[in-house]
Amino acid sequence: MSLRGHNRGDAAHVPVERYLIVSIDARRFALSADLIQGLLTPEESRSSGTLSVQGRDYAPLNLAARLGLADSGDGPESRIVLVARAGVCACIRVEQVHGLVELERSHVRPLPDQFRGDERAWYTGLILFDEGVAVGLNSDWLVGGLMQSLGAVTGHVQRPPQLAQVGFDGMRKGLPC
Amino acid sequence: MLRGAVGRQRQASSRRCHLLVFSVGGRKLAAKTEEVGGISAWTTSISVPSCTPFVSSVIRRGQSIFPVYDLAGMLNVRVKGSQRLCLMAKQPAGAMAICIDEEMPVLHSLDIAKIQTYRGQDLDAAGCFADEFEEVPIISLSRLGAA
Repeated sequence: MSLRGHNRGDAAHVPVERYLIVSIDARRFALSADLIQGLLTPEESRSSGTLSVQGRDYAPLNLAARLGLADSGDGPESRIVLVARAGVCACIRVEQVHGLVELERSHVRPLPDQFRGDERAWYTGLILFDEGVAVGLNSDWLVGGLMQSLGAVTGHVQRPPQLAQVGFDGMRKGLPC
Repeated sequence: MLRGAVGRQRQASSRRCHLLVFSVGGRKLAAKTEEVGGISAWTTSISVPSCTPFVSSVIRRGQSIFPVYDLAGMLNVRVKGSQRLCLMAKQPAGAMAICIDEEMPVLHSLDIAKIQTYRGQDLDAAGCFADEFEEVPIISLSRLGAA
């Protein structure tokens, strides 16, 4: 085996993880890219209730409230993130979308043991992002929230006109809708 | 006798306690030097929503992330100064950062016999000692936030 071939093989095996980095109440969070179905502007979504996009209903999930954060309302950079897991769909309003990033697993640090409360179930770890840190949200915990949302939602379904598809072409550049 | 003298010297030095005296919100506190990982300039902390009392942010230092213990919040005071300092507390779970006043901490060597029981209810202190002006609680950095 040539050295070049050996190196290529090694590079291919570096484990990477993909996240959508968003802001809620001026804090950065990382959603696993596996969850993400698309992004909408508030104008496109037209509603704070359940959205129907391409035949799927997305119930609202108030992530800010689940994390005990302030709901800052819509701003110029606000987006609606459509997520789905195990057949459960939800839409999450965020302050800003910073971009879709692909990181080596070594950039994900475990939550320090000094965090001893319920938050240990909320997060998968802390992610080195730019010069700061994004908090990695646990998809399983989010699914629990999605199910609660589905149980609570009784409102009618709104149908937005367009859906921005998320692709890795826009990695680290933001994802305009 | 030499052997006896060395033994007495060891006994004498072992009766002294080495402390770092610092302040948070103007309040003087002390900690054992072996529980202090270092002192540096404070950097902006990053909030992490949390249910753990007084642990709701982290700081990043290069490729490392450290939890922050809000000692000022626990004491119900505000950290003083624009050039605040970061005290790194050694803990079994890993180092933890504490924001302290800009007043430079000082090393203090104290006869163990001068350490008294701390009777205050506001913090879990391993003891206290009296300096010229006030009673200074000795906090256990390694146990901070563990209760």
